[in-house]
Amino acid sequence: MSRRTQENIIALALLGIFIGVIVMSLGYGPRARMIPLPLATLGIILIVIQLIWQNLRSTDELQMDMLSMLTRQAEGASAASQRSEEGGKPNSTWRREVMALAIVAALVALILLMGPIPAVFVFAGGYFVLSRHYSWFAGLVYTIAFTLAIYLLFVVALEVQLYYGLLEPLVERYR
Amino acid sequence: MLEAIVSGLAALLTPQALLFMLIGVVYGLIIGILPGLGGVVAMALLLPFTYGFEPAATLALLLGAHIATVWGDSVTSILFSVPGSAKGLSLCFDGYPMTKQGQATRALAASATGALLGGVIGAVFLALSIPLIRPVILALGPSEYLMMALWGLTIIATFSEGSLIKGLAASALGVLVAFIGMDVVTATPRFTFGSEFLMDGISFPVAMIGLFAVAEMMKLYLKGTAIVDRSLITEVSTVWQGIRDAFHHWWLVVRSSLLGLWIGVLPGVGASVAGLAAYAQAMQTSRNPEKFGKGAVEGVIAPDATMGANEGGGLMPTLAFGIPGGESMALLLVAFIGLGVVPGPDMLTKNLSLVFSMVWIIVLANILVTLIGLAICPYLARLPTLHANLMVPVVLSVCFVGAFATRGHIEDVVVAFVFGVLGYLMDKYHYSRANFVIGMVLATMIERNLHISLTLHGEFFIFTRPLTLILFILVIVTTALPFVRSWHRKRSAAARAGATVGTAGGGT
Repeated sequence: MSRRTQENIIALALLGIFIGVIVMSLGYGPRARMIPLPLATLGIILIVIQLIWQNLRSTDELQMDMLSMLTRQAEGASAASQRSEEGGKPNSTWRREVMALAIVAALVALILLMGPIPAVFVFAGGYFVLSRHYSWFAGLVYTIAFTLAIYLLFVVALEVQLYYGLLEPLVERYR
Repeated sequence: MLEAIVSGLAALLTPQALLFMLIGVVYGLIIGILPGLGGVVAMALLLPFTYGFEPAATLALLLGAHIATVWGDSVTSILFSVPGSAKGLSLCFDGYPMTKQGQATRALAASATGALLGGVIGAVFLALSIPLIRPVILALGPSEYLMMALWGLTIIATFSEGSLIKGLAASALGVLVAFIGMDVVTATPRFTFGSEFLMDGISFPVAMIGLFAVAEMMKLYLKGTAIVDRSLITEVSTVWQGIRDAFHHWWLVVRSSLLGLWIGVLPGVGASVAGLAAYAQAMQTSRNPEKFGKGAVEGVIAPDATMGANEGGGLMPTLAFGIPGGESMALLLVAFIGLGVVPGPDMLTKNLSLVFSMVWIIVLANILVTLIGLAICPYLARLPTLHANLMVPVVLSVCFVGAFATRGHIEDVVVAFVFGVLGYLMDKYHYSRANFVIGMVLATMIERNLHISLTLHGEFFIFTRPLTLILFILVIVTTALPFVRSWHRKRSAAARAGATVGTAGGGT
């Protein structure tokens, strides 16, 4: 997928959000929509300008827009940084992006299922083992030390009331 | 007054008060470094331990912890581009690039020294201005606060690198996200989709954790190495360089401190706005504005000096009127009640020695934070060299547990995840995250003050209130300034080019 297509998808998503805000705001009273309505309208205008502008420019100039052209603000640096960021990246970047997203999602899922402290133990331990950056023994030691530190800090020192996860009723049932 | 200054200091020079201050500072530094847990959490957790002690010792513990969290916040912004709260956001712009250039020690030392100087200057001016500041605060109303919030939004123009339209769209989105939840003015639930959880709105620290910390860890995973690879970039800076930088830019420190003091005095404006305003003024007044965002040490010194002074300023409305300048000052009010002290105008007459004790606490706590900070700078600077395979699981875990701990709602973990993905996409497609955050910070302030101004002064309040009009003109001028300066630079460059061609033509 080309950079321009990606930029267009993001801009269209934002456009959708701003349109959604307008539709929802129309259901509120005049005072409640006093700021959201004009602001979302402004957002739509900005995104439409951005869409038109980015589809009229060459790929190298995607980081510029009309106001940047008027002010000549930082476009050279921005375009250069854009090129340097994009240059040399393998086409499989998206696979690693999906992987990064999956890692974060896995931690969130673990927290929702088990609660924060067991989730941290499983996630950190699993990450250390699967990344093979440390030996399994060193990984285990780091995981125990880290989980203990999190427990002492948040539960003992800060007295945070823990969440026990969606699996807790199941555990209780078979206990 | 001199007697009050001396007795205020004497009350602090007891072993109990000094020990409490040390405990508060160390504890505040640890809390400040943890994402999502800022000065408010630090003070709230200490509050139950404060009853039954001497007022000076209690305040040393509370204020010491609060002041230390400010610098603790700066540390993660500089080292990982992960601000623990909105206050630290402005430190990411130049602090993080300095870290990536192998100048983390210098940035941390400059930050600590800037905070110390700001804190001391702020405290001195606070002491001097105690008799003068009361009429100033009373002269300001909601319409003036609205203009100041708008001024904060217009600073956005300064931060929109590359695409101003994308930057403005990001700030509009930030403002709209802040409107999720129950509208405090009309009691209308907005954009909640019937969710009870969303009625409370999006927690600001949770959104910050997602936008910056989670997104940065996703980027670090993609990079696959440490933030700073010592085989490519060696740490070339020293603590002394940072200290020298702060003193070398003394005029910037003074200006930023006074700005921080002034913003702190205004109830409800907050240190996050102060840090961003300081960064903007440092950039606009710099001889080399093009270096900002790429590792300019002034971009670290100015926000820290401002935030250091801001704490002193925040005390003024709390003490003089019983109006807390922010959440942390509201907690301080609770502590006052526990101590049997009634804030209000009498505070500046009958309890003046206690007021000066607090001024001294600000000075001494800042000195303590800086001494500890400078001592640990070289060790902290090694943190970004840790490999991604260690950093990613550790930081992600702390962030999500921190997000949960902020309000004790498990839904906040999901919110942090959503904002993490949003932050990653915004960074990748250059929709400024800073603008988004500024929009979120200022949204409520703008809406509340707009409604009150319309109710109190009518539709044309901008023109009927002279001070509002002056501030409105100031907003327009600061918005136009980057454009005018850019146009002026272009014209000068064109004139120079013309002169060069003319000279060359004359020579032939």
